[in-house]
Amino acid sequence: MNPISSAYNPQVFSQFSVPKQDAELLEMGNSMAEPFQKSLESGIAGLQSTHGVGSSIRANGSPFIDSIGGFVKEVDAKSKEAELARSSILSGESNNIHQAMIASQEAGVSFSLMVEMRNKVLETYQELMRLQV
Amino acid sequence: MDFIPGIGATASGLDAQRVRLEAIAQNLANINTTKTASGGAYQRQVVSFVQELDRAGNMGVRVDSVTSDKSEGVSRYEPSHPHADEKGMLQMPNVSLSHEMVDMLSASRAYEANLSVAKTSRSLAQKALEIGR
Repeated sequence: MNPISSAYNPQVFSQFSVPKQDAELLEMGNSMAEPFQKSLESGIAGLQSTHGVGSSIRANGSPFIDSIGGFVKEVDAKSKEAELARSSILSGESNNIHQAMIASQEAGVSFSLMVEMRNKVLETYQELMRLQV
Repeated sequence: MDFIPGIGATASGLDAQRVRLEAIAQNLANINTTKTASGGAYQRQVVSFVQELDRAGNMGVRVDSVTSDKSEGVSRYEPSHPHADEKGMLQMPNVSLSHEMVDMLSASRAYEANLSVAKTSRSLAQKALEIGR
Protein backbone atom coordinates (compact mmCIF):
# COMPACT_ATOMS: atom_id res chain seq x y z
CA MET A 1 0.00 0.00 0.00
CA ASN A 2 1.35 3.31 -1.01
CA PRO A 3 1.38 5.80 1.85
CA ILE A 4 1.32 8.74 -0.54
CA SER A 5 -1.88 7.69 -2.17
CA SER A 6 -3.53 7.24 1.21
CA ALA A 7 -2.58 10.85 2.03
CA TYR A 8 -4.71 11.99 -0.85
CA ASN A 9 -7.54 9.72 0.00
CA PRO A 10 -10.67 11.87 0.35
CA GLN A 11 -11.84 9.63 3.19
CA VAL A 12 -8.77 10.44 5.23
CA PHE A 13 -9.26 14.09 4.44
CA SER A 14 -12.79 14.13 5.70
CA GLN A 15 -11.72 12.34 8.86
CA PHE A 16 -9.20 15.05 9.74
CA SER A 17 -11.15 18.06 8.61
CA VAL A 18 -8.82 20.96 9.29
CA PRO A 19 -11.36 23.76 9.89
CA LYS A 20 -13.32 21.58 12.30
CA GLN A 21 -10.19 20.76 14.27
CA ASP A 22 -9.26 24.44 14.48
CA ALA A 23 -12.64 25.39 15.86
CA GLU A 24 -12.42 22.61 18.43
CA LEU A 25 -8.99 23.72 19.52
CA LEU A 26 -10.16 27.31 19.79
CA GLU A 27 -13.07 26.34 21.96
CA MET A 28 -10.88 24.15 24.12
CA GLY A 29 -8.45 27.06 24.51
CA ASN A 30 -11.24 29.44 25.47
CA SER A 31 -12.62 27.12 28.09
CA MET A 32 -9.14 26.69 29.53
CA ALA A 33 -8.44 30.42 29.47
CA GLU A 34 -11.65 31.35 31.23
CA PRO A 35 -10.69 30.35 34.80
CA PHE A 36 -7.27 31.91 34.29
CA GLN A 37 -8.87 35.16 33.17
CA LYS A 38 -11.17 35.08 36.18
CA SER A 39 -8.33 34.54 38.63
CA LEU A 40 -6.39 37.36 36.98
CA GLU A 41 -9.38 39.67 37.32
CA SER A 42 -9.90 38.79 40.96
CA GLY A 43 -6.18 39.35 41.52
CA ILE A 44 -6.37 42.81 40.01
CA ALA A 45 -9.47 43.57 42.08
CA GLY A 46 -7.53 42.52 45.19
CA LEU A 47 -4.67 44.79 44.22
CA GLN A 48 -7.07 47.66 43.68
CA SER A 49 -8.66 47.22 47.09
CA THR A 50 -5.36 46.90 48.96
CA HIS A 51 -3.40 49.63 47.26
CA GLY A 52 -6.20 52.03 46.65
CA VAL A 53 -4.88 52.74 43.17
CA GLY A 54 -8.44 52.01 42.12
CA SER A 55 -9.86 52.50 38.69
CA SER A 56 -6.70 54.08 37.31
CA ILE A 57 -5.38 50.58 36.66
CA ARG A 58 -8.06 49.96 34.07
CA ALA A 59 -7.95 53.48 32.70
CA ASN A 60 -4.21 53.56 32.07
CA GLY A 61 -3.83 49.86 31.52
CA SER A 62 -0.47 49.81 33.35
CA PRO A 63 -0.98 48.40 36.86
CA PHE A 64 2.73 47.93 37.44
CA ILE A 65 3.61 51.54 36.76
CA ASP A 66 0.71 52.77 38.88
CA SER A 67 1.40 50.58 41.89
CA ILE A 68 5.11 51.36 41.75
CA GLY A 69 4.32 55.06 41.42
CA GLY A 70 2.10 55.02 44.50
CA PHE A 71 4.72 53.10 46.39
CA VAL A 72 7.45 55.55 45.46
CA LYS A 73 5.27 58.38 46.76
CA GLU A 74 4.79 56.64 50.11
CA VAL A 75 8.50 55.95 50.46
CA ASP A 76 9.23 59.57 49.60
CA ALA A 77 6.79 60.70 52.32
CA LYS A 78 8.62 58.48 54.83
CA SER A 79 11.99 59.95 53.94
CA LYS A 80 10.56 63.47 54.15
CA GLU A 81 9.27 62.62 57.63
CA ALA A 82 12.77 61.46 58.60
CA GLU A 83 14.27 64.65 57.21
CA LEU A 84 11.78 66.73 59.21
CA ALA A 85 12.62 64.87 62.42
CA ARG A 86 16.32 65.39 61.81
CA SER A 87 15.99 69.09 61.12
CA SER A 88 13.82 69.56 64.21
CA ILE A 89 16.61 67.96 66.28
CA LEU A 90 19.25 70.20 64.73
CA SER A 91 17.20 73.34 65.19
CA GLY A 92 16.57 72.45 68.83
CA GLU A 93 12.78 72.18 68.48
CA SER A 94 12.82 68.61 69.67
CA ASN A 95 15.22 66.61 71.85
CA ASN A 96 14.10 63.14 70.85
CA ILE A 97 17.19 61.88 69.08
CA HIS A 98 15.83 58.35 69.06
CA GLN A 99 12.65 59.48 67.28
CA ALA A 100 14.73 60.96 64.48
CA MET A 101 16.83 57.83 64.26
CA ILE A 102 13.74 55.61 64.23
CA ALA A 103 12.18 57.76 61.49
CA SER A 104 15.30 57.48 59.37
CA GLN A 105 15.44 53.72 59.99
CA GLU A 106 11.83 53.43 58.86
CA ALA A 107 12.63 55.44 55.77
CA GLY A 108 15.59 53.16 55.07
CA VAL A 109 13.58 49.99 55.53
CA SER A 110 10.74 51.24 53.34
CA PHE A 111 13.25 52.23 50.69
CA SER A 112 14.76 48.76 50.66
CA LEU A 113 11.23 47.35 50.50
CA MET A 114 10.65 49.48 47.41
CA VAL A 115 13.88 48.27 45.83
CA GLU A 116 12.93 44.67 46.55
CA MET A 117 9.49 45.23 45.00
CA ARG A 118 11.07 46.75 41.92
CA ASN A 119 13.45 43.82 41.61
CA LYS A 120 10.52 41.44 41.88
CA VAL A 121 8.49 43.27 39.23
CA LEU A 122 11.48 43.39 36.91
CA GLU A 123 12.13 39.70 37.46
CA THR A 124 8.50 38.93 36.58
CA TYR A 125 8.76 41.03 33.44
CA GLN A 126 11.95 39.32 32.34
CA GLU A 127 10.42 35.93 33.06
CA LEU A 128 7.47 36.87 30.83
CA MET A 129 9.77 38.04 28.06
CA ARG A 130 11.61 34.73 28.15
CA LEU A 131 8.33 32.87 27.67
CA GLN A 132 8.32 30.69 24.56
CA VAL A 133 5.33 31.29 22.32
CA MET B 1 1.46 51.38 60.60
CA ASP B 2 4.89 50.50 61.85
CA PHE B 3 7.32 49.24 59.28
CA ILE B 4 9.57 47.95 62.01
CA PRO B 5 7.91 45.58 64.50
CA GLY B 6 7.40 46.91 68.02
CA ILE B 7 9.14 50.18 67.35
CA GLY B 8 6.30 52.26 68.84
CA ALA B 9 6.60 50.68 72.29
CA THR B 10 10.38 50.86 72.11
CA ALA B 11 10.29 54.54 71.20
CA SER B 12 8.03 55.28 74.17
CA GLY B 13 10.42 53.34 76.42
CA LEU B 14 13.37 55.34 75.16
CA ASP B 15 11.46 58.54 75.76
CA ALA B 16 10.54 57.50 79.31
CA GLN B 17 14.13 56.64 80.20
CA ARG B 18 15.30 59.93 78.75
CA VAL B 19 12.91 61.84 81.02
CA ARG B 20 14.11 59.77 83.97
CA LEU B 21 17.71 60.59 83.16
CA GLU B 22 16.80 64.26 82.93
CA ALA B 23 15.28 64.12 86.42
CA ILE B 24 18.42 62.44 87.75
CA ALA B 25 20.58 65.11 86.12
CA GLN B 26 18.45 67.76 87.79
CA ASN B 27 18.76 66.03 91.17
CA LEU B 28 22.52 65.73 90.88
CA ALA B 29 22.86 69.34 89.79
CA ASN B 30 20.91 70.45 92.85
CA ILE B 31 22.65 68.20 95.34
CA ASN B 32 23.77 71.22 97.38
CA THR B 33 20.86 73.58 96.71
CA THR B 34 19.54 74.82 100.04
CA LYS B 35 17.10 77.39 98.78
CA THR B 36 14.46 77.07 96.07
CA ALA B 37 11.69 79.29 94.68
CA SER B 38 9.17 77.62 97.00
CA GLY B 39 11.48 78.14 99.99
CA GLY B 40 13.40 75.45 101.82
CA ALA B 41 15.92 73.01 100.45
CA TYR B 42 15.66 71.31 97.09
CA GLN B 43 13.57 68.17 97.01
CA ARG B 44 14.61 65.37 94.70
CA GLN B 45 12.38 64.80 91.68
CA VAL B 46 10.89 61.36 91.15
CA VAL B 47 9.50 60.28 87.78
CA SER B 48 6.61 57.82 87.68
CA PHE B 49 5.50 55.90 84.62
CA VAL B 50 2.16 54.53 83.45
CA GLN B 51 1.37 52.05 80.73
CA GLU B 52 -0.17 53.50 77.60
CA LEU B 53 -1.91 52.04 74.56
CA ASP B 54 -0.78 53.85 71.43
CA ARG B 55 -2.56 54.20 68.09
CA ALA B 56 -0.89 51.17 66.57
CA GLY B 57 -2.05 49.01 69.51
CA ASN B 58 1.35 48.76 71.17
CA MET B 59 1.51 48.83 74.95
CA GLY B 60 3.95 51.62 75.48
CA VAL B 61 4.96 53.64 78.49
CA ARG B 62 4.25 57.25 79.28
CA VAL B 63 5.61 59.57 81.95
CA ASP B 64 2.74 60.00 84.39
CA SER B 65 4.19 62.70 86.60
CA VAL B 66 7.36 64.18 87.97
CA THR B 67 6.83 64.67 91.70
CA SER B 68 8.97 65.88 94.56
CA ASP B 69 10.23 63.48 97.16
CA LYS B 70 8.82 64.93 100.40
CA SER B 71 11.19 63.12 102.75
CA GLU B 72 13.41 65.24 105.02
CA GLY B 73 17.04 65.71 104.19
CA VAL B 74 19.69 65.95 106.82
CA SER B 75 20.01 69.20 108.72
CA ARG B 76 23.32 70.28 110.01
CA TYR B 77 24.55 73.03 112.26
CA GLU B 78 26.07 75.75 110.09
CA PRO B 79 25.28 79.18 111.60
CA SER B 80 27.46 81.11 109.13
CA HIS B 81 25.47 79.89 106.13
CA PRO B 82 23.13 82.55 104.68
CA HIS B 83 20.30 79.96 104.38
CA ALA B 84 20.59 78.71 107.95
CA ASP B 85 17.58 79.27 110.25
CA GLU B 86 17.64 81.24 113.50
CA LYS B 87 18.96 78.22 115.43
CA GLY B 88 21.84 77.91 112.96
CA MET B 89 20.49 74.73 111.38
CA LEU B 90 20.85 74.30 107.66
CA GLN B 91 18.35 72.01 105.90
CA MET B 92 20.17 70.04 103.18
CA PRO B 93 18.40 68.59 100.10
CA ASN B 94 17.20 64.99 100.32
CA VAL B 95 19.29 63.99 97.33
CA SER B 96 21.57 61.06 98.00
CA LEU B 97 24.51 60.74 95.64
CA SER B 98 24.65 56.96 95.78
CA HIS B 99 20.91 56.68 95.18
CA GLU B 100 21.12 58.90 92.14
CA MET B 101 24.11 57.06 90.73
CA VAL B 102 22.31 53.73 91.04
CA ASP B 103 19.21 55.22 89.45
CA MET B 104 21.31 56.64 86.65
CA LEU B 105 22.88 53.26 85.99
CA SER B 106 19.47 51.65 85.90
CA ALA B 107 18.10 54.32 83.53
CA SER B 108 21.06 53.98 81.25
CA ARG B 109 20.78 50.17 81.16
CA ALA B 110 17.04 50.39 80.47
CA TYR B 111 17.74 52.82 77.63
CA GLU B 112 20.32 50.43 76.20
CA ALA B 113 17.87 47.55 76.47
CA ASN B 114 15.30 49.51 74.46
CA LEU B 115 17.96 50.42 71.93
CA SER B 116 18.89 46.82 71.41
CA VAL B 117 15.21 45.96 70.89
CA ALA B 118 15.13 48.67 68.21
CA LYS B 119 18.26 47.23 66.62
CA THR B 120 16.91 43.68 66.66
CA SER B 121 13.52 44.63 65.22
CA ARG B 122 15.23 46.54 62.45
CA SER B 123 17.34 43.54 61.54
CA LEU B 124 14.15 41.45 61.62
CA ALA B 125 12.57 43.78 59.07
CA GLN B 126 15.66 43.57 56.90
CA LYS B 127 15.73 39.78 57.13
CA ALA B 128 12.05 39.78 56.06
CA LEU B 129 13.02 41.72 52.95
CA GLU B 130 15.40 38.93 52.02
CA ILE B 131 12.45 36.56 51.48
CA GLY B 132 12.23 37.65 47.86
CA ARG B 133 15.89 36.93 47.14
